Amino acid sequence: MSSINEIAKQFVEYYYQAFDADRRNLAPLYRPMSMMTWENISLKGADAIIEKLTSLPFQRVAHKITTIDAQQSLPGVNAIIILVTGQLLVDEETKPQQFSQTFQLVEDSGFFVYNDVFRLNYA
Amino acid sequence: MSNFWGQNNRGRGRGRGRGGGGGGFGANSNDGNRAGANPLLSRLGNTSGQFGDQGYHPGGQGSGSGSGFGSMGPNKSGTFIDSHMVGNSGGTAQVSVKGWRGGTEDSLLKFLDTKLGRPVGVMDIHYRGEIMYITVPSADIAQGLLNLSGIRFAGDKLSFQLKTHPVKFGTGGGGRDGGVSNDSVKLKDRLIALLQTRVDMQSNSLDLSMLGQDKIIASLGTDAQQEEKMYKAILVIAAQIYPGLVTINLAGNGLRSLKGVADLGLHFPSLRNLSLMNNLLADFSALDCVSSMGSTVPLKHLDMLILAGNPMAEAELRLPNGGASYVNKVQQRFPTISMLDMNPVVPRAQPGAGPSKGSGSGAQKQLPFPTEQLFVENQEIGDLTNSFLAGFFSFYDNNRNALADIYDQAAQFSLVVDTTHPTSEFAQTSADSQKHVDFSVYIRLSRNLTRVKSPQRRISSLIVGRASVMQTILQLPETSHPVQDAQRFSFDAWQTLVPVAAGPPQTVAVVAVHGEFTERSSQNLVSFDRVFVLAPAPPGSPAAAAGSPCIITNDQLTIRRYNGFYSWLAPSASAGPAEAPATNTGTGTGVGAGTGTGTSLTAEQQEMARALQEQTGMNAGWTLKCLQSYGWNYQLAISEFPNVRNTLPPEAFQ
Repeated sequence: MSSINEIAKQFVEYYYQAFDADRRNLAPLYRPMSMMTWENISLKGADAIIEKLTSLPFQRVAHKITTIDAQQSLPGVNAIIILVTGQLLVDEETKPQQFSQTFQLVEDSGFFVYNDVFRLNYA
Repeated sequence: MSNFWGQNNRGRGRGRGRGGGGGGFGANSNDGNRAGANPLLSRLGNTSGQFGDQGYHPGGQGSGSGSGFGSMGPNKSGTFIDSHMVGNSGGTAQVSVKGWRGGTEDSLLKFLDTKLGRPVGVMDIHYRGEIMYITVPSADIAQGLLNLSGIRFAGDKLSFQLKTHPVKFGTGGGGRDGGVSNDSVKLKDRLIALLQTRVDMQSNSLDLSMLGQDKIIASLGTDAQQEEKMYKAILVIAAQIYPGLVTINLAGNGLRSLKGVADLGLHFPSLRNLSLMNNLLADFSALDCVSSMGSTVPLKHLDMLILAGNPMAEAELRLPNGGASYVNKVQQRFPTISMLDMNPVVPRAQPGAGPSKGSGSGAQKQLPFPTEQLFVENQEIGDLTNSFLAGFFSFYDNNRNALADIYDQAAQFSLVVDTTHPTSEFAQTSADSQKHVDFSVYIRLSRNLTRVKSPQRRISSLIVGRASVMQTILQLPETSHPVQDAQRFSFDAWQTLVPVAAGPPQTVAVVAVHGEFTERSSQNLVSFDRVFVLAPAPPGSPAAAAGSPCIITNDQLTIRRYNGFYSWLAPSASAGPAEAPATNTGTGTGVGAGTGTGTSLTAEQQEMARALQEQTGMNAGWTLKCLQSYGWNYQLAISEFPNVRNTLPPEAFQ
């Protein structure tokens, strides 16, 4: 059980560090069956997801994680559901915006992102 | 026991009639990542390690697939870029620029002007390999550029170096790059020739269709990898010679991505007509880079768009009711269009307007990209989620004890407190956000993994098992969730198939909901995010007996200081309260679907109403009236709408 918490925390820290450095670095975390929803847009597969992320209309982004919570999720599978809240700052903006993101990681020769739901909430 | 879950018990047993799937909700659906042939199902059981090679090491693989994200090989240097031949002179300084290749020369120079706060006044540009050498008028400006080193541009970091010994560039044949310069001059001449054969000055239109069959293009021997750069170069040159183009035809070019033409809006701000017919665009997201969804300079005046003959259009149109969702997906990106594939559509925004989001909601929000209230994978899971949430919150607020039937025996619950002070403009002026709210009762339970470091505490703060979950949530303050007001909630719902040791795979639903509640005792307003994992209620289980279509296996609750709900409101909703842009907008019931007029509408009717509302801009009530008066014949209603439009009162559109 503790390993789930460790994995979740490591994953989240890695994810946003990679996102902020270069969104293309996130590609290895997704696989062809990965699904992402970004606001109400649905994307399937690593290529489509990375293309969406790299085409977002800002040059620089910095995420600050406020909370992470993780639970083992699906029955019969090694899966983790992670709820993250935080703030993000894009380009020259000085006012951070609050977001929440839900990940479901599934293990299959290493964990990958099976579901990813991003919400720019309470902004 | 009375049925708090509304009418919607459709989830149970649905699978029986459709394809013999498991007993879960929506097991028949074949989109998304829980399709029957999910490779995940056949490859489970591997247990070791975290983040295997494929999962955790950036740079290992996965960077440049398909039409590329700006990664260019060293052998593809600035061939397509125009070189100005201006000599160096006293007072000037030469600066090298690296890391700019994700964008165009043009966009880079504009970017630098902006970031420097004054015109860079570039006098000269040369290329050697990936490096751009620019000559600027003064050492002062050069220093300003050096200070920008590390700034991000087009997905990469720029680095600048002052060349104290300027690199000399010959004017032909002499230096190492002489050949390149010559080539690029020749190339530019050819592309100008190409444009001259394809422009129509009278109509300000440029026909760039079927470039693959063009003799001039063929003579350049462009390979597929260079295509993107070729389009960029064509647009740069076209913008210099024909800046006022209103029509561009890119049909029949085998385009899989629009990256090469992503600067259309920058170069041709008055573009009104665009054809992308008969290309290979596979997904609507391919359009984002020229639309308000993915570009800071979208095509704001686009009026006519042709997408027919692309896989994404054809696939969408094959879906049930695909016509409406096709128009919807395109209009989300291009709200100003009035013609799509030569069929009239009702524009959602005036030409020149920004993203439609901005117009209706006043100064409430300044977001870097549009937000939406909800995403549901399909109507079924939308219905199920509506029904579940309405029932859950009703129990949670009024009869929390009864939730014992709904939590699974092994259910997990955790609670996290996000104490951040909201920064939105709404929060700055809202008394509910500014008020001091005592979260101590929640903080005792909070298992925020960024704060809770002890492994023991991390484990103990996770509440496991029905009895413990019930004991915990019964200690939490009494609440009131405004479920009757759909616009105060946003949720995403999707479903996943998981294997079961014996028998068919099980469908589970994951629901992420954002909203608010009032603490009854303190009357404090609190915002929350809550994620549920739901499994179908087994027949005969207490949950099934209570009328719930599902049981809860996971429940994650994060609470925050109040920050309202404006960020996910669509313009139509903020203009007129109570119109939720939900899947079942037509019913205007949203989260409370189980209790509203939605009970009388079938899923198909709700879908019709939603589509008609989007097409016509009428409000929910008038949309329903309209559909009812045409006997729920959608085609008739939409075709008659232009005829009756002028007879409708203004409030029909409010």
